[in-house]
Amino acid sequence: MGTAKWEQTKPKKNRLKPKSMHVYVYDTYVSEKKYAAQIAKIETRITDLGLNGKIIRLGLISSIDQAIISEIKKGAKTIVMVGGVKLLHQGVNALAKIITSETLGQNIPLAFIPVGKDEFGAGQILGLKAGEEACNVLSQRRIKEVGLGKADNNYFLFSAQIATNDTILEIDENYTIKIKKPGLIKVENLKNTLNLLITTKKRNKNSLFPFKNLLLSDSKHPLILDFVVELNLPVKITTAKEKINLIVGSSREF
Amino acid sequence: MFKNSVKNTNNNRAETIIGPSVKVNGNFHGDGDIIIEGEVEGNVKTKNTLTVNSGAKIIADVIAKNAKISGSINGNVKIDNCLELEASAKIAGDISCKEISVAKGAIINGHCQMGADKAEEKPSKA
Repeated sequence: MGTAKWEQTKPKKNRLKPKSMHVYVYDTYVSEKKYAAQIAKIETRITDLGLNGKIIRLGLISSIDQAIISEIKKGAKTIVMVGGVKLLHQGVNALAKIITSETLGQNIPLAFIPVGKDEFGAGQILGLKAGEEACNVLSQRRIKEVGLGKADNNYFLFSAQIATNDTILEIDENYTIKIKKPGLIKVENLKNTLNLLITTKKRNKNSLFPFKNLLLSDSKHPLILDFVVELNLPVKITTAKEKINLIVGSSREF
Repeated sequence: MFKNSVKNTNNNRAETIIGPSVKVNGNFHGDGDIIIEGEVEGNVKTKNTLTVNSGAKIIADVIAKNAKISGSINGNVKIDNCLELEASAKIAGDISCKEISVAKGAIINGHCQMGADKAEEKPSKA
């Protein structure tokens, strides 16, 4: 009899839990007055769509990784980064590290709501428009598993790039590449394959190399991950084992 | 990651492109098509088509399924199927291929062995 009572009460407890718990991580700059109207529209749209959740303001927390781990342990089903591409980069890194170190976050999707100007076109690449229109994409929940690049211990979603002059690259420990003219080295994360693109001014002709391991050295310039994060050389770039689930728009560029 | 981000003005279908401002040293092995417009020293091997454009300089042995050469190669060239030498091609080394096309003006300094299938190259047990 006692067992039967317990079985009857269990579903009631489940009904009290939210079906889909969203956690919104706000970038530091979105609290500025000039973004107030855009944030208000985003929050209204989120409410209209029934996607309310917990808001974490980045300025108040010491570690974004720990905050995301904590929220996933509490039952977060979707992590939404609200702000700029640097915040999205941090979110990607946090989720990838959680997948590596914990048996958590394997299927937790990461979403992005760009706020302000899409300076680097990150939102466009993901098929998102800034502000409230990105909320509609969040609602549609189109999830795509995405491979990541890894530069030493840092993950990147979009690209790693560096200005070059006499830079030497070593690929897969098989051959070296010397670039004789000033230009740009760009590693693009193409689905699960990394491609190295070298652009120089000479005759506007590019070089393209597929690779598994790339060692970058001998340059005074920093390597820039996802348009915004700088790393000093030498750096080894590989394809990460970890993959994350991204919520993307139908007009995404990959 | 992205449809429009890799813009190759050279050729859209090649897997690897060594541009005119690039020098490669070492063992360069690939599965896809390779286009060389710069310099290579070492070995070049691909299971598909190798294109060496005018102005390219290769100091290496070359192995490929098919090849179209307009630049210069200093090394042996072994092609499984068809080798096409354009007028500006210069080869200093031995050539082995099934079929060959040589344009007027192309320079070959070396032996040329052709017509043999891989199967025919295997020694008979008898």
